[in-house]
Amino acid sequence: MSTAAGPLRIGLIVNPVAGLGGPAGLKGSDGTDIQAEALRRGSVPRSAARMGRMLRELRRRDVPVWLLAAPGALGEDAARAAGWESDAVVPWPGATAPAATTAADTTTAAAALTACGIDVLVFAGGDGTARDVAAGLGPDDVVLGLPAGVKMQSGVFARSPESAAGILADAARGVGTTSVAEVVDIDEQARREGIISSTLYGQLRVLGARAQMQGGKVGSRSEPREVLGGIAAECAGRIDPEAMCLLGPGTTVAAVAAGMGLDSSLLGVDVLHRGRLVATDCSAAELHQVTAGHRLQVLLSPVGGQGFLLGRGNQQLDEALLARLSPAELLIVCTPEKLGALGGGPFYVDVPGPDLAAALTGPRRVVTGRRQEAVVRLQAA
Amino acid sequence: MTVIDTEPTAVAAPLPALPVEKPLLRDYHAARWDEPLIFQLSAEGHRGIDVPAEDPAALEATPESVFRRSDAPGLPEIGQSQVLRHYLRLSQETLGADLNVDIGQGTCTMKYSPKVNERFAGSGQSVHTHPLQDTSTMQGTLQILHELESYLAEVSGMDAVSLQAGSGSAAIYGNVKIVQAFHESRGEAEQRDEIITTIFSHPSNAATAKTAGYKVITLYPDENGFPDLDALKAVISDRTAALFITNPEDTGIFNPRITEYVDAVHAVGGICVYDQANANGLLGIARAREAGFDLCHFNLHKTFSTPHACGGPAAGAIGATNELAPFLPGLRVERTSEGYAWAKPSESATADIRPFHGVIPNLIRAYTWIRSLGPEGLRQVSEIAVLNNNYVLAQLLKVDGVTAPYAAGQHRIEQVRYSWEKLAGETGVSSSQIGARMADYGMHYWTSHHPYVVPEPLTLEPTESYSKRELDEYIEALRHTAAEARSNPALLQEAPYRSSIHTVDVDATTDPDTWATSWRAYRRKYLGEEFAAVPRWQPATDLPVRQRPPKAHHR
Repeated sequence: MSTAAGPLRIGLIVNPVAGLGGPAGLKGSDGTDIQAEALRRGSVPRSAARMGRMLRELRRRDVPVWLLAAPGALGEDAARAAGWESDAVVPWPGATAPAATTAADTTTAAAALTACGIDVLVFAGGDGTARDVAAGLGPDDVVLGLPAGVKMQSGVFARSPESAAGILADAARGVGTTSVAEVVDIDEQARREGIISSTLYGQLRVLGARAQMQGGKVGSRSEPREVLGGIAAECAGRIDPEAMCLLGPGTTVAAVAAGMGLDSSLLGVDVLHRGRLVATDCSAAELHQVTAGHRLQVLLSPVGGQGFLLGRGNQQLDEALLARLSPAELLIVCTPEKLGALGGGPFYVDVPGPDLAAALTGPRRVVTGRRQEAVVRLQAA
Repeated sequence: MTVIDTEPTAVAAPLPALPVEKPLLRDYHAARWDEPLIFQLSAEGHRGIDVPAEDPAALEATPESVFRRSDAPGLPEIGQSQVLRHYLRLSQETLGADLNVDIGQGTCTMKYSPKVNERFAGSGQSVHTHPLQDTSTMQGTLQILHELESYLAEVSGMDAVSLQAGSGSAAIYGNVKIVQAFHESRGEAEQRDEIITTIFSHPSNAATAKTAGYKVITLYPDENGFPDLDALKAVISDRTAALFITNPEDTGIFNPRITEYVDAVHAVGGICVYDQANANGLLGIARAREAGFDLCHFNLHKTFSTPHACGGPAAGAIGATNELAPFLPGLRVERTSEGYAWAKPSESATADIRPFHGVIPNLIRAYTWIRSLGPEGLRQVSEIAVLNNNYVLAQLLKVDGVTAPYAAGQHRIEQVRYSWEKLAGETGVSSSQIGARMADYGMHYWTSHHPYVVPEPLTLEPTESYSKRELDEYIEALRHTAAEARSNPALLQEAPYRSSIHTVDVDATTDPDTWATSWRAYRRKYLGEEFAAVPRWQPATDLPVRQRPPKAHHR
């Protein structure tokens, strides 16, 4: 990539439907049916807003950049909404700009942007978007993903819009590096049925060092029964039966539920109350409805390999729910091997609003077994 | 008696240079004997010693006749030379500290155990004493124990020392029980139910604390590799019983802010315990006392040269300040006007860790080692250990694919936890596979305790016992193995090839059903023979079954 002379040339793509399924508890957003269902359940598109967060932070850093956006909802609108007149909009190869955005539109936009000679292609989306972008790129093209999907497994994403802006600012100042990361996607339909299988779709050259990325998700290895059993026994004593305890996704949390004789949804958010699951696999709206008027507890485990505790795979826990949660009532569990592989932390929290982030961050106790805890720093992504 | 004059009689002429220099990488091959079990070598009528036939009537009146068994024990029948060859062959199939460059046992590397010390430890005055005999007949032993206590007090800065523990972990357990007894004496034992330790500390800290019933809180490293001080401050409270911590930790980075950790825990009424299992880099340089600790312990087999004894009995020493000395376990020696005597134990003393007075032969070895070196020698031991470690660090960092996480560019104390993450990412070869290949060059290799916080870890601790040539041999073997990982990764995935045995099924070794720790068990489990059931203690049906953590695999 050329950064020696002139401004950093950034291409922008937004997948406007990325992440729609998250707050709706749909485990993903692939396919027009799912997107329609997510909208029906009250989900609001947020990938454009995340691109906006990145652009505002980039402006604050005041570095020489030049923006080239895909037209309309594919990028241009997000730039304008963030108060940033993009320097140019890439000419669309077709007669008219696309109205509905499909996977093919993303690929077309990626190819068109790189054909104009950009230094880096920044896209807001999830694993599916990364796949579609990769399909339109050559081997030397450089990308940077803004995490806007439900639960990204690919290693091409910055941890947050703000950290993406930091990586871009470094590159604009000529001190950027690149690394190679994998594009991975899961079969969302299988995931809805509780089966997790992911496929490697290739590699991309990514702006930023590997340590700056959120990292590929590392699946749970089969932990010895005793480890999960110890965590379950410890949590059983800490879950207040009178509170509404929201059980997050993942095998560790599912093991806690199993320890209480409950069959939780492996990948959804469930509600535990007085020893019973009163609702399973809930959307944000359903969680609000079920828990109204009750004190909240939340039981979460970080995403292996990434360390994300909030904002990946559990967007159902929206801002309003988290604002109701007393920070002391956030129970965190993690197996020692997963914690070790994460270098002992930090765990990342990607939540809207600095006040909420401030309330949830800092050193926290994490249950790692029976009468066994670690202290891990929670940090805004 | 032959007197050997150790002084050179004349200045020796320098040896002529050898015509061909031997390469650092050895053309090694381990012995492989396919040796049968000694029971399988048994042949009827073979004898090691031909004992004269007994006259039963003559033995009638002896005390032994009361408990003499009627049937002969089922020992193998075998001649002396067959026994000698059997065990010599088995010993050739091991990689002990007396055979290979054993620096790959990082955190557990055994330094040289001087053979002359065996003469003292094995002398009649040591091995023919009984712990209950009158102290007037064992004044020499008591003097050794008394002086060893005072030496270790000087090395640690502590006021009192107990030598009773038969291992390092037993000494740490002793420290946990002292912490418990101290808080009990102040009526706070129930309230103070949390012990804090760190992930890079000796794992026995967490293990013994949990065994004693404490809740264990583990601190993880901050970005500099030190235990997160803010995390410590966030969790200490009036529930904190103690902090168990090592410095330097397994990373070998000395924590210059250690007193801040100690002060923070003292401020909430907790005890601070310095795990000095490995004090190889600190003798005569830094002491537990000056860092503010209340308790400490040494593994005498780690730092003071006594043998590890294949898992025991080894020896551990506990050091305590005057405030905690009354809680020390076991008898301690005092000097009276009539000579050395066992001091009357304090009423607050914690329970004995083992019977009697500690592992006397090992205490004699440690004493001899300290006496032979003297104060300046002890300091020199640490200086050389630190120098050796930093030499290996500087050389290894030139090897493509290895890094030393945390504290970039800084010197380390006595060991380093390296990472092969880069090499593994580029070649797919893991640290444990590199270790298996190192066996082909006659080198022992160890990764790290679990969980692996440093990815693809390798821990090296050279100690003071190895020469530069030996360190270079180890480095060369690692460099060569790393190059092989790039040129022929498949080679490493199937290693070792030149070792005594090939890879072991880890799951089988952790499954008790596959173990045969006796000939009878082997016949029962592997030959299908049936034996009358041995009467065993049966737990009461309502006895709660404790949950145990799973066995961690080192590889």
